[in-house]
Amino acid sequence: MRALMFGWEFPPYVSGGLGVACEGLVRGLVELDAEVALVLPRRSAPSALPNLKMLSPADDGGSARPRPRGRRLRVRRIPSPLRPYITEFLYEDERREAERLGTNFAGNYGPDLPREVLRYAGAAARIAARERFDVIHAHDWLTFLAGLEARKATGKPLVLHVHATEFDRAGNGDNGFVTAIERLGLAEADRVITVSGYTAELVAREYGVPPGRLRVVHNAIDARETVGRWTVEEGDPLVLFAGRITWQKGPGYFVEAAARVAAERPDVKFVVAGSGDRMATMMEQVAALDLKERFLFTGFLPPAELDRLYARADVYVMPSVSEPFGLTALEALQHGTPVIVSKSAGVSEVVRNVLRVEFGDVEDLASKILAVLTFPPLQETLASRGRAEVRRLSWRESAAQCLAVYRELVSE
Amino acid sequence: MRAGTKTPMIPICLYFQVHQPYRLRRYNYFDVGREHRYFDDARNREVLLEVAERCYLPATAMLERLIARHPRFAAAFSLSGTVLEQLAAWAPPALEAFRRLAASGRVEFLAETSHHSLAWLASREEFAAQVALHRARLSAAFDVEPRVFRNTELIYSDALAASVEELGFAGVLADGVEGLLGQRPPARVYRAATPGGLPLLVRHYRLSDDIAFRFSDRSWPEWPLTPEKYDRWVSSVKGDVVSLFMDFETFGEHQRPETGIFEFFEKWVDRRLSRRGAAFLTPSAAIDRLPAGDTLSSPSLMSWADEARDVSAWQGNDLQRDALGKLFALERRVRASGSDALAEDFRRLSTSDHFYYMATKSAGDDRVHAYFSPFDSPYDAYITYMHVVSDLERRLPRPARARSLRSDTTRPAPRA
Repeated sequence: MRALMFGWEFPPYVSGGLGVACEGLVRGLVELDAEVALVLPRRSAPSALPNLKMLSPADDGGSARPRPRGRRLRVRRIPSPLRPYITEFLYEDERREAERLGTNFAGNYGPDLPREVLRYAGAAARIAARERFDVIHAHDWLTFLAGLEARKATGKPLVLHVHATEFDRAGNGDNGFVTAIERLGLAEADRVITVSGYTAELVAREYGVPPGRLRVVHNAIDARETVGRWTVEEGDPLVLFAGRITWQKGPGYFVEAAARVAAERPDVKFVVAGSGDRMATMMEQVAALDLKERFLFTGFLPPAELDRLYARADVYVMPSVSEPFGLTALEALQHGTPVIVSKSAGVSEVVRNVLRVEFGDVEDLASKILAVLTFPPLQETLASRGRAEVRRLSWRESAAQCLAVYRELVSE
Repeated sequence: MRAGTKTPMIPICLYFQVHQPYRLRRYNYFDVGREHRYFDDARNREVLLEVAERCYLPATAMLERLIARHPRFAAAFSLSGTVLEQLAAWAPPALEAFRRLAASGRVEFLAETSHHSLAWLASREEFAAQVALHRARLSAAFDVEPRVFRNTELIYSDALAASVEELGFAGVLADGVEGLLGQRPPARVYRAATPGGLPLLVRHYRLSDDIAFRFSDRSWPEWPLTPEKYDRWVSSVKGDVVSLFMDFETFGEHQRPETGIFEFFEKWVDRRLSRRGAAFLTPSAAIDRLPAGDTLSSPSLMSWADEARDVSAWQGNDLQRDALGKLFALERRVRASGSDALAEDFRRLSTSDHFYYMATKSAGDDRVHAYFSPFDSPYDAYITYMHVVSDLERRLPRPARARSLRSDTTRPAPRA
């Protein structure tokens, strides 16, 4: 089986699950003997790609070294400033910054995000025409048009993989062109894969994708060496929030719950690892509730440092408003850290050893944080059973399910 | 089987368990020290009314019809003290129906702990107190004195049987698992490994579960189960008595009316009793009339729950053990307080169901636990329970010299 995949790189800094998921799936597919031609946007500044480099000695498709894995994975790069979670505002900021620095941004790239997405799709079609493959697989709205153009150029079947929708990110489908692209893509795709049953329901409800074309392939995590809890220094109880600080992630609920916990337990500290458009708001809220002494904002962290935080934390909290999956919950569990997730999170379809709260029920959230900190058998049971449960997951299994979807299309 | 020409009709011993717990309300960390009402009255009432409608009323009516039609029909019940109290408060017509069965003289009522509790696993003193309390409630409700004891969920061991004997009972029930029986058949009266050789009736679990669990299972090769087929199975059993023990809620609740469970059972009893020599025995009658055989010993704890048939359904993980330990750590102080209200809350928290909801088993058993649980997860069950126990602890007077509870709850059970 040969796939042309429009995907994303493993991010050097933790900025969401999309890159992690793409990398996991690609590695799983290659392990299962599928051939993958992976198309990625390449930014002018080269980024560190430790994990993909291992897989991919070949760059820009030129000279693949004679390694078996190298042959099964070809990487094609389209120069573009596209990256996961980019918005029109961020794109505009970056364009201005590039012009200020005198780089030739506007000459090569689209003058705004919509036009850049269209330009990327055109380049994608040209790459598709030169590649040999059986099926096209594209991840989230930024690459949906690339997938559609590639199908137009080659007639091969198209799989669109939904990691998040505009309904998750913004609470509605009103963001003009993003939603328009999502609607177009999802209506046209031969198969739609979602990362959870939760997202499958949303996609069926809000985008009218019929069940016959809809498949669920849950995200996963691969076993790896983790930071031992005994290697991190002991200290005050620590409650962790990690990820993009955006409306979708419910940062306000975290702060409100923290205020209730702080009132009961003078020793507890709260760490926020990540960044995003609600960071300033979140900091103001912390100040207004007089919690500055109890909070630490780290900004984005490199994976190794985030791992240390997972290992050090007593409980990891993901209070998302809408969470198609929530990979960081699996990462925390892998480190033996008890997890509290919102019931609107796909991850709780694959792990049972987590605590769940209704999003917005900050009293229940605070009560559960306090329960984990108060009852040692609870913390120990969540840690040991959660870790054991996560050990059973693998990206190879998720990739096998993607392959099954490819086979449905190729045999049709 | 005795030497003889024709196989006699083997008698049947029926026992139905009736129990509803006091389920906890939503109760969180911030309620501790502020809210002393622990139980979800609205929900408990709603569940009780539903079960009364679907099971207790139609199933007791069925038994009344069978008693009226067949002089040789008999059965036994065990009603927990908690369900007795709930019936009296919320479903008097259902309690009345059980009273009519009691008045028929054909139905035996068994002894258990008042609160369908795990007291046996934690405290002999509290166990004896709850057995006495249950006697008092049975006497008040039905004017009966129980002779035969069954422990919560058939939790059993040699030590339990010895305690039961000491409390003056004439017999005890257990599940007929291989661990207890070895190669022996379940269809006999045995003796417990106690000083007095207490008569022991063991459940025929396969024939019991054919009705209680498998009756409506369409993937079961024997589906649909007909009265004729079931009666053939029962008749083929070699021994002195077939003991069919199950939840009364099997009728209409676990097996819904549309499965045909009521028609099946009534027709089977009719069919069986249409033959000469067929009989139904209460546990007391079985113990009194049938010869007691070998002594069976189970030094370790067993029960009728889950695949494991041990106490892992309630004490299988750290959460469950922690919760029971935390509750019983308060026992002396509850007793010393002399407060009926504190004692009642303590006892309601000793009910086995709370611990059942905290089970973290997988593969098969978890579905059964989830079916009964009002909680989203075993963790929610544990957290809620622990917050409630924390509040109970705060209500207790500081530890001081022990005083005894009111006499009616600690009085030793009269010898039967």
